[in-house]
Amino acid sequence: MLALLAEVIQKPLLPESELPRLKKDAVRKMTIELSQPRNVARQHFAQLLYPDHPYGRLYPTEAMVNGYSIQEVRNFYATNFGAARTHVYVAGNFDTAVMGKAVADAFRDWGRNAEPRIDLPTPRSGRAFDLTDKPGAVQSTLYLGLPVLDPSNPDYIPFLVMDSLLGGSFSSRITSNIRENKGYTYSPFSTVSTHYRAAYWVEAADVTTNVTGPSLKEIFYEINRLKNEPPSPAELKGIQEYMSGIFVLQNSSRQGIINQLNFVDFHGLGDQYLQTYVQKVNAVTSEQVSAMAKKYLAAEQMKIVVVGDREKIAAQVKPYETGETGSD
Amino acid sequence: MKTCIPGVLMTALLFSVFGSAQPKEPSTFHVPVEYYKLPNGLRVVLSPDHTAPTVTVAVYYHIGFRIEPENRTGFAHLFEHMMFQGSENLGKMEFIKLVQRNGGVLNGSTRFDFTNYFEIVPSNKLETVLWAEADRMRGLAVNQDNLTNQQGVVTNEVKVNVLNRPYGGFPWLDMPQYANTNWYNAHNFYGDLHDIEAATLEDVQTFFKQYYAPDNAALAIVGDLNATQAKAFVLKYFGPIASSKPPSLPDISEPRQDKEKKATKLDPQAKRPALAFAYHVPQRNTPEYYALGLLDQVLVQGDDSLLRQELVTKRGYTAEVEGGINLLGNMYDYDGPMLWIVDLYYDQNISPEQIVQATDSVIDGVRNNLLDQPTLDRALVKLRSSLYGEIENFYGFGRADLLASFALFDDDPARINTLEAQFRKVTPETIQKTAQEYLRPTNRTVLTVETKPASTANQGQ
Repeated sequence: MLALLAEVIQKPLLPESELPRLKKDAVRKMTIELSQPRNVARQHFAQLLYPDHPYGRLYPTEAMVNGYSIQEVRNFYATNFGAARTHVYVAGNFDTAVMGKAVADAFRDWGRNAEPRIDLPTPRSGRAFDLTDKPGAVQSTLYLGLPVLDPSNPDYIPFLVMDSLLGGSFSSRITSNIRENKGYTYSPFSTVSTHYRAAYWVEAADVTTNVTGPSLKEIFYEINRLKNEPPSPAELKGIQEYMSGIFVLQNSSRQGIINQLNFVDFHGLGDQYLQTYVQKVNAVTSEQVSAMAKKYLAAEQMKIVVVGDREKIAAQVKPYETGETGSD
Repeated sequence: MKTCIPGVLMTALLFSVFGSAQPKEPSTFHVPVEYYKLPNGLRVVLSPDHTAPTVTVAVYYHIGFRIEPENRTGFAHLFEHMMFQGSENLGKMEFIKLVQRNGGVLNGSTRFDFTNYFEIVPSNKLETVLWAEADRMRGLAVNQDNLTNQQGVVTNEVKVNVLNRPYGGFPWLDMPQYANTNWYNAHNFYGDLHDIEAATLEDVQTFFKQYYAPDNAALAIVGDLNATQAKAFVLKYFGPIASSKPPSLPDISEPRQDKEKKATKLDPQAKRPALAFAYHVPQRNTPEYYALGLLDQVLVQGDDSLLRQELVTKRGYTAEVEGGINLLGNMYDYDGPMLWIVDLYYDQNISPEQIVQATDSVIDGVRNNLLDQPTLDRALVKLRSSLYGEIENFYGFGRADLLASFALFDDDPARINTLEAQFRKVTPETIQKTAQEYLRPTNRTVLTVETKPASTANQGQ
């Protein structure tokens, strides 16, 4: 099995005859994905964050897909694939010596190729707002967020604790507010999405059309409340215990272990990261949580994307188009 | 309900290898199963696995969306949400916070024949979770505000998953409504918004009394557990709950279909047409049922599957052919009539007739000829791989799902260890006989999703 996988990776045929079919499939897939409001919101949000960088372009244009020649595909492979930029992870029940030798045998002859090169993005500064009209939409899809610190920053773990408490878990404040109190939405969530030496925080929610403005109001309300009042020790402790438990779960499956190791490798965090993660999560204080929200969730830097029925929501979202609303 | 486990970015090349470097030993696969019943009728299954210090608790109630009240479509699911709104000792949000502050995740779901509630927690928190699940089995403590709130949440759930998205409900929610004739199998399980909004607190309490009782439930505990201790906890917390003789199930059978059905759904939000076809499957646990499980592997699962080879690789009509038996779970966790559904998305220049014709050329092949042994062997490999994946799914939840289902539906959770043998018994003759009866065109429903006319279909890029 390993030998077979290794052969496909190291010696792909990349046949020209398959290219027209794969292009057609790619265009269809992209068209269908971009008919989903969530994906439209994600795409516009990325464009607002990283206007001049590939991170800001989640989908190619149809013309771009159709324009690629087989030579460009082969050149891409030749330039970007090689041992120097490949990690092989194996997790499961096996004899380490036997597996190690099998991996070595399968990949020994692969050329190194160039080291990875990642251009870092310059995120857009300031408030930005984008409304995409979806006439007749019964919900508005909201993406509200901004560039934040990446995992190599010492504030990263305190920031994750803040995120879990604010919107990143089911019992979080934003979810409690707009779902369990107000009933505006079903599955709101916040998350930290990471790239190499770049990251963004976002709160996303699909809310009933007539409460689009009120939903934005409550999201900003919860962000500001956290900035101004440190959470109680009990609330913080609950989130820390949750994150500690999730960490055990993340490390309890083969894929989970691989994901963790890859995350550490990709961001260059070192072995210490996983060994001290739980300890660091539990060392975060209430004041730090508030400080993280203050430092990284600045209202004047928020990018807000709305996909919804313009006629019904334009007036509701108007106050959020500029940085005046939602500031502390 | 929705559980969030933070994901991490993956960019490097991944290999996940199950088992040893040289796969051999055909039958070492064995799930430990200890099964017993409490005097109040609660079915209890324990399955230790000490690989990781976590434990999964799953409570399955034998009430699915099939048999909700006729003027209350979507009620079984709305009710599932109410189970998170408060019980005797846990107020609103307290169940969720209790699990999370004990380092766990939780969720609930409503399916054809059960509604489940589960938690995955560090193993030293088992007692806490059993106490909490028993608390809400004993009684609901919910008010009108809770109901109104969850009517809002569920309405938004239907909007986000069905109404405000292209292909919403296709084919998983739509197809049963077209292919089935018995109301229990053919109504809108997610619910008409008016029905959801019409539900009353009295409906909630009545439904709870009827179906949420220990003698209508199974409790599966999977993972890092000590059986003696777990049994003591179960007895202590679930033992005192009174049984309540749940009502007998209505007739949910489907008549044999003897004429092909065709349906079209106009979807103004869709940008490309889509097509799904469905066949009624053989009764669970019969030789033909296992044969159809293998036919699913032969025809649609994996890159070597015959429909994929025909429709994707050879004809280039589509990029993916997807499907299976019971799209809302797996081929094991239901108890009643079921459909094998296959779906694909294509371009406007291809007609539904071309797709059906190409599909028939493949299906006729397995109906008219004996399947060759190498193809059957490959199907068995894929099936075993998929079964192991199912059992491992989501940190032990997958194993609990099968054990609880088999306890509820068959009174025999140890069936989990006999499945492989049943699939191995299937011969090419059984495959052909099954294909001839069940993959008849007259046992089929074809549903197509049509987009708006081409002139407006390409807007909004």
